[in-house]
Amino acid sequence: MALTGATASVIAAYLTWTKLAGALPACGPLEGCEQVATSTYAEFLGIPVALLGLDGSRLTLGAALAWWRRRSEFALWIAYGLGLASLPVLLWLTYLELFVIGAVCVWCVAYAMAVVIGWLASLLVLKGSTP
Amino acid sequence: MTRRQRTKRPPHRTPKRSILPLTLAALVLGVVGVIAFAAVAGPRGGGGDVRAAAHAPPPTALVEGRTVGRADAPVTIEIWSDFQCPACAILALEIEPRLITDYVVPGTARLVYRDFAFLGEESLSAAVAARSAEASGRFWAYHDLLFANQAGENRGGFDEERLLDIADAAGVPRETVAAALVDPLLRGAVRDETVEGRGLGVDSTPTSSSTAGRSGACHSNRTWPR
Repeated sequence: MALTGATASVIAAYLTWTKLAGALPACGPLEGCEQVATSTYAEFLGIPVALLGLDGSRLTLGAALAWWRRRSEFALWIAYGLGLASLPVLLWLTYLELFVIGAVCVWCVAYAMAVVIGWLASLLVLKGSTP
Repeated sequence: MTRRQRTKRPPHRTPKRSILPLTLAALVLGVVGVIAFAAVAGPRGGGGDVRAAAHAPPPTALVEGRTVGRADAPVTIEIWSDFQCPACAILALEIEPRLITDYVVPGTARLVYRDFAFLGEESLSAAVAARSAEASGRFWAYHDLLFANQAGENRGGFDEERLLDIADAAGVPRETVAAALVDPLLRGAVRDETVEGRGLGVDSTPTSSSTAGRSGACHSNRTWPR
């Protein structure tokens, strides 16, 4: 959970930085990053979506670390809840990429995968310990 | 009790609560987030008044069709753009005016607009409409207004009615644009130029090339002076 939270945070931080700096994310040989990053869906109420993702993944990372280091059950629930609440949003953003924008950003896919894996990990821990 | 046993961290406590209430609450929160995002983010269509460009179009004496600048300028800069591409709008509305002032007007460079209409049907229509403004010497005015009035991709921002409204704002006869939009030769010309661009290695927009070198889309905003 901490690893996926950290991965998602790094990706979101990079995308936030490129957005705020007016630059475009590097795609390497792949295409689609610039099209997604410059689309009208890259902002929500003037706030970069990547920045919202960064906030969410940082909270998840903090919760995962708190569960890991302090054995805080509450933190585990927070990590699980944040991951679950993110799923519909990530599904919606993926739908936009595939069917509205018509381009896929590899950074966004990696971010979504990190969040989903982190949430599955929290679910497994909870299921394993719930009576 | 040994020191090791004293400092050993406690085992994970077993969650006492049921997983169901939090699961439902988190899902509701996520769905509310999606609904809010869908309602607020994204294109809002092309209705309303046509927004003016923040700068005046280039001097008419320097304009010839989709080219601005003297024919004998030592540097020619070709800019491959799509009228629906937001990064192209940044280049067109923020950087090109400075290029024109600093390099085109003094005679150092000339700009050539090239169509790379790859983002969908409305990209094609916008490019056709802009080409129809060439005859009246208003291509660049129409070009600026298109970029200043982007409203998402293929969501009505550049439908026929909107393109005619933009024609009014650019000083291009509406009937000229209306005729161009149903002219298969003009549509074919835009498609051909896009294919030509692909053949030259253009794969994203904006891509600019000049006698001084080439700047791909991912680098344009960084390497051009802002």
